[in-house]
Amino acid sequence: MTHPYRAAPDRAFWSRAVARDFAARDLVTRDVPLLRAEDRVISAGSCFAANLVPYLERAGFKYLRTETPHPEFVWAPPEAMSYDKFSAAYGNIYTPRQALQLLHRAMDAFHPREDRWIEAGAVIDPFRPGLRYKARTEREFALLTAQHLAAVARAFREADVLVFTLGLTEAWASADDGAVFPACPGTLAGAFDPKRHVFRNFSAQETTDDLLAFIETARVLNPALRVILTVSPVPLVATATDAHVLAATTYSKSVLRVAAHEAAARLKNVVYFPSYEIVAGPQAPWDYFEADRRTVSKAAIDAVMEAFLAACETSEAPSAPAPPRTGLSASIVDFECEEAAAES
Amino acid sequence: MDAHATAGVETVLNRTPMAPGSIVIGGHSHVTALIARANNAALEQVYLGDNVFGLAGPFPRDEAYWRGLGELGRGHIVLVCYGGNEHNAHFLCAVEPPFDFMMADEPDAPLDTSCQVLPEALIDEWFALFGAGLREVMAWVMAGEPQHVFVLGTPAPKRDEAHLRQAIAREPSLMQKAEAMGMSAEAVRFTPAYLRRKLWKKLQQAYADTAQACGAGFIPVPPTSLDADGLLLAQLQAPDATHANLKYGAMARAHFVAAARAAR
Repeated sequence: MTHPYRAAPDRAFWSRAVARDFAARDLVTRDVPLLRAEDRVISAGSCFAANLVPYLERAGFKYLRTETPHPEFVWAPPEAMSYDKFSAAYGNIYTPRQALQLLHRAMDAFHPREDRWIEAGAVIDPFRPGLRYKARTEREFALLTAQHLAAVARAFREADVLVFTLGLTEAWASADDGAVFPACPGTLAGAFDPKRHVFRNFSAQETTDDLLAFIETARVLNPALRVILTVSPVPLVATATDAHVLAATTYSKSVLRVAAHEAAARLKNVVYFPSYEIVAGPQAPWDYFEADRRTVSKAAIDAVMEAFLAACETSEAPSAPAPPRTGLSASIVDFECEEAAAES
Repeated sequence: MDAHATAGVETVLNRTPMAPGSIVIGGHSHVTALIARANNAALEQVYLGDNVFGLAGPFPRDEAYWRGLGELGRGHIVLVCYGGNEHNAHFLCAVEPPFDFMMADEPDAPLDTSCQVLPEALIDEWFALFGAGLREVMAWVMAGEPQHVFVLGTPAPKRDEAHLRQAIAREPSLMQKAEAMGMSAEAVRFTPAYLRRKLWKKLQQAYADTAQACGAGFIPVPPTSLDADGLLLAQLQAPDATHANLKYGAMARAHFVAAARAAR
């Protein structure tokens, strides 16, 4: 007797694809390469998204940067909080809502009412509260912010591929106009005001809608932009819900995974890459997380990137592990996330 | 400090008695304008009149020179002319990409927003790195237990690009920088004068901050040495690309000495 499973490939069966002979690269099932050799790649997302950059560059891909430190000032201490680790200095973007908001701001379509915090002689960007080099005057702030947003728009216009890593569903937002902040006001900077700042834990529908809107908005700037979605396997530092942080993490990652699936299913040239499954699936080795069971190990990132690069068109051999470097893995996850400020 | 240098200072100290409250001036190359004869094989006291002395010595300055300056200034006022060419070394020639920055205390200063605009805080932190060398020098000078120490402002940038073009061709270190950037002496492009002035202001502020942190004072250059745009007056420039002349030196020395005595 025949049935639909009889002709299914080995990867469809847990016993054949996970219980034995598991290979992370087998999770990528599409025939078209994720990246082509000539692609200009940008990335955005949570802390985990910064990890792929050195691997991509080492494999010979062009990582597009439109906002870089000036070469004459490299002696000065580098920017903090991952602002110098992405294509433009937007730092970590945790939720699809934050990503959509960034594009709307870059396109002059949204102007948050709470757009600056002034404290101790500095004008602080609530959407980049950890910047090391803060503006000193409102005029300087306006100029630097406009320059930054122009660089964001340029990155999205000039890229061939966006790799976007979804990190969280929880966010703090302005009660006034819904603008979401990467860190709860009062943690890294600013002052928390329960009348002005509200907690949001986005639903599956909201997250999916935001993600779809983000991609569609990006394609207003760049209709040919291809998108690779991933979900960060890094658990929440803390939850502002009543739930246990582990349950809250499961909710958050589940919603993000659903949203990524929906976007990939509904939109052309949007694919999902299963970094979450590689690192957090039950087949994953114990050492893919450090002892705190939150910090993703270098071995895990190596495994993710080996699978990723194996699915790319590259003249180079699939990635050997990238050398350890400042800011990679633990330091990114633990010390350079606005999210981590919630614990301080 | 080596024994030879110590002996040199002691010899100098015995040469011309110094009245209480005398002033001793020493430092890097910009001190040449202030004391006329700054380069000497050995440390040597130079009397400039009115209880003002200079310390000549070999270039480049070393620990022995700075310690000698402190010893010569023991119980007196020491004026330290430190550095002053860092902005020229890095930015006299136009760099790529072009950049600019705003200054909070000069909101109306010229600004080219077509350039990469850098945060003023970054510029400050970058120039503050040069304070490390000054801090070391201050420790050596202060070991001689002067009564007071003041760090001196250094000459403002020069406006005249024709002058700079002629001068840079004779200065190997600046030409090396230009050539490394793909520019010949004839084709060298200079950072706009207004931006060089802003960078110079940041250097002056970095030295003022370092001086204060070391328990010393800072005396800016005489306003009379500047034109309406804050650049060095043409008649005060030495033939090279970065230094001021003896006329500036006489004016500036009088200004520094008066300010130091008033602040004592």
